Amino acid sequence: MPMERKQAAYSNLDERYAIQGEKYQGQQYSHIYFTRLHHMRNLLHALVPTWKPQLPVTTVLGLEEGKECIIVGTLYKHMKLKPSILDEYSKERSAIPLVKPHNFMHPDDHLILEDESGRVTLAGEIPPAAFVTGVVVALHGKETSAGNFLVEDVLEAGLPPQTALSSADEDKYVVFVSGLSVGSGTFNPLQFQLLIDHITGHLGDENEQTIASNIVRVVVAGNSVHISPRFVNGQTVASKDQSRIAEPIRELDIMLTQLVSSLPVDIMPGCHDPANFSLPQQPLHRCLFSGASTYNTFSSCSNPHQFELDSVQFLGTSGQNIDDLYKYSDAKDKLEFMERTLRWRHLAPTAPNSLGCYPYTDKDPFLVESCPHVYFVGNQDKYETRLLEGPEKQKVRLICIPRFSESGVAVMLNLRNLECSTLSFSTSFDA
Amino acid sequence: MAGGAVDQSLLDLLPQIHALFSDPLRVISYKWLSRNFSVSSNDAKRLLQEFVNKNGTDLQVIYSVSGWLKNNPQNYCVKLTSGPKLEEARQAFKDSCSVQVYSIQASIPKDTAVLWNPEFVQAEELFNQPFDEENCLRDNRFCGVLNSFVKRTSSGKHVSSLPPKPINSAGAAAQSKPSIAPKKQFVTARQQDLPGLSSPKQGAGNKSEKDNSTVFDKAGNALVVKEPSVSAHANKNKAQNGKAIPGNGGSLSNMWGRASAKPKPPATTNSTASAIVAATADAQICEKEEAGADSSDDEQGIKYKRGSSSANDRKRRAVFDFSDDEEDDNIIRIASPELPKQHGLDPVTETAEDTEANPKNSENKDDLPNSVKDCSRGVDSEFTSECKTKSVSTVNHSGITLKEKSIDPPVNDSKQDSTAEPASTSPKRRKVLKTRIDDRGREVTEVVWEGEASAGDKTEKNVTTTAASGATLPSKPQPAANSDKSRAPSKAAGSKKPAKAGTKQGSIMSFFKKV
Repeated sequence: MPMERKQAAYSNLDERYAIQGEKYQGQQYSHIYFTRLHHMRNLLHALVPTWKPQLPVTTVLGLEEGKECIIVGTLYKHMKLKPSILDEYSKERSAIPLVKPHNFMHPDDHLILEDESGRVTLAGEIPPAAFVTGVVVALHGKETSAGNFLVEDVLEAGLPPQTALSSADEDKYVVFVSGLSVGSGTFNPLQFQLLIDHITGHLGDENEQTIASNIVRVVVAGNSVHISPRFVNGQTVASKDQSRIAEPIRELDIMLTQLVSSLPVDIMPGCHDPANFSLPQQPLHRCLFSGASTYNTFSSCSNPHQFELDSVQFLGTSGQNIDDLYKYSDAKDKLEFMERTLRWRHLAPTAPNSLGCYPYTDKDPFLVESCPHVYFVGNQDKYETRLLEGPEKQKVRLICIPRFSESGVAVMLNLRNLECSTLSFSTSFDA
Repeated sequence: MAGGAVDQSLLDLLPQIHALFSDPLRVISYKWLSRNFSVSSNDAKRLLQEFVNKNGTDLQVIYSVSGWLKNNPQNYCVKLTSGPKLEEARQAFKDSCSVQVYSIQASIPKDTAVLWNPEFVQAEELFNQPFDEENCLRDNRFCGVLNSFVKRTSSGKHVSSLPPKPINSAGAAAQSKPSIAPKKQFVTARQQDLPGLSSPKQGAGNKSEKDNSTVFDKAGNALVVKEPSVSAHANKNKAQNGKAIPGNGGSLSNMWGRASAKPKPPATTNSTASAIVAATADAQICEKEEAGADSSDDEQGIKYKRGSSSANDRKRRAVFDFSDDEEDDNIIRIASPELPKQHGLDPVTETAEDTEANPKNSENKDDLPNSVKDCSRGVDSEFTSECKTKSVSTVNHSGITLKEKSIDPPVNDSKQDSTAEPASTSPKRRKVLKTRIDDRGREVTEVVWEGEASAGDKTEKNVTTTAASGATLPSKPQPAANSDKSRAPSKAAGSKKPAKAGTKQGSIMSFFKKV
């Protein structure tokens, strides 16, 4: 007869992403960069003695031509193609070449290093394609006669320290799903219903329900609803359209109710959800989910979202940070972007430069201080996963969660061994 | 695979499934079945399997196949597949895959939404029940995996869970029904359906008992006479509980009422209880058809015909299918997921309204009076109140009602006419007839009433489709609503919700609001 669902100890670690008591007083973004540089420089300075003990550490202002040294600063990537709001106002027709379909890279891009004392253009062993504005690094090199800094080696902060995993002996699964896009043309409600029925233990035989009973949590990583853009163009919404806007949310609420009545669900906002635009996105308001929010199993979370489940640390976003890296840099796959953000110890280095971000004055919430065991990113084109191993025996499960509405795929992670598998749902019964 | 594991009590449900299945457009999925009959999902799947085993030839089955894929061992796949493709689909899975019946239907639907929609409509109904009520959607009681850690808070208090649908038990009809605050969703309408029949007492009705009696006395004789008194009551009541019930339907039906200068005597409406039962069953079945079918206007026409003259044939069929005692009858009625909007009895209220001078008064009071009078009325009123949200079902009602009263067809005609034509005789109004061919190639006659001055100088517009029978039925906002609903599912996701505001309906409503 019915089996009992497994449980896992959960603690939400989202406080650092909460915007509470912050008061916007016209401040700009310099504080974030300052805090970031300050924090990262301390980290890097501590690493330098083991990296290149013989070299002096100096500042940009203190550079001497031809003398090898180490400087620490924030990278700025000068990009020809980077869109600028000012372009719209320029009188002359610009000679800027066309943008490539997927990003703003150009062979002429170059990097500049900044610290409080000044800035210097970089050359040498530092590929611009692999870096973005906002990353803090230590560089080994020397100033050339042209006034550039010729880089010989780069030191990144590297993977943060990680807490040890306690070994578990039973299978417990966490299911990740993103990009449900309820209400969009690509959303297939039957597919989502199958996912729900699988997770909640309606579908399948005893074996399948045994698997389902091992699922301890579902994480919905952003873009759960799709609201037609014609409603969000700044015009007043006609009264008859108002219900149409609410429709997808209501439908999602009904679906979520089925989920939360069975197991804990975390829902994160994404770039298309009715939440604030700038990171960190604050939790979706509970009033949007009048049905689901009455359960103790429903938790509306911020984006980025950080939590701990049976001592396994999770960190994830709805994808904006990685999507932005994809626009401004290059890598062989999305997982490599994810890996870089961990090595840079910064979830979203392009914020606030090209990614919306709250103008914090006293902190940079996106610094990664401890290494998660699972790092997930939502709303990606396809499912990818890899186990990243660090020099200090860190093990991180990187997961790209595909958009469910397009792929019909959810990701299932086993807490016991951090192994990943997929759940796919096919409804093409007549094809 | 199910075979021996199925309880006898479950097997008893098979005839009911058979009856449900007789609707060619119905998709019976295991989950819908489970909620509808209050059995667990696993039992429902077994039940369907059993049903397929017995009646495998004349139905199409969609199976869910799930398991680890051969070519990608890290992928657990859940796949829906039709019966003929089952073996083929199974090849892709490892040996341990599970194969279960997902749904049965007369034909494989083209659109996946068709499969999903009945279930969603059902979920929505459950979802829309008052917050403090437990139901199988909210506690997920029919799944195979329980989680005792899930807690739900409903504004502080916890309400004991009562089975949302007593259908399963034979005594369903007798079961006392928790009075549910009138809700917009037809969900509740369905629920109230039952109790209305069995127990005439409604909370709301008591209030205006006096009024009722007077109304009815007069109604029994000639409604024409008593206009003033009714309207007076109406006003009063309106003031009292005007807000309690959404008024849209009221004003609309009111409108229809006003159209007829001479209301037909409703005397005949004092029908016996049995007649009512039949009528409701009938109405419901018609209802099903409407909701289930593509509900083109043509069909509506047919339906009306059936309703008014030959009738019953649907119902009979259903009854014959199983062992046809009263209980079964009830069960069917309850079980039908589409709301029984019970137009059947409405005319009473309609006629009552006819007499009213004040167009603003809505059914509220009318309902109340009726309910007290006798149970048939009670049912009636309840339905109408529920129906309001659907706006205007009056036309429908007239058709069905007639039959129910067992009045011969001619009377029907006259009645129908009465709603349509009186206005022309009325000095205050002008009738404009517009005939056009609509986009589906049917002839549509629009009857536009232009009234001056009187209570609310509004233009009423009836869109009438001339059916093959030649009977001109006064418009059908109701069908429109239905068709919206039933058509919607086949569209893509978000917008399809059957819930409120089909565009047509919306526009009509807003029109009246304006007035």
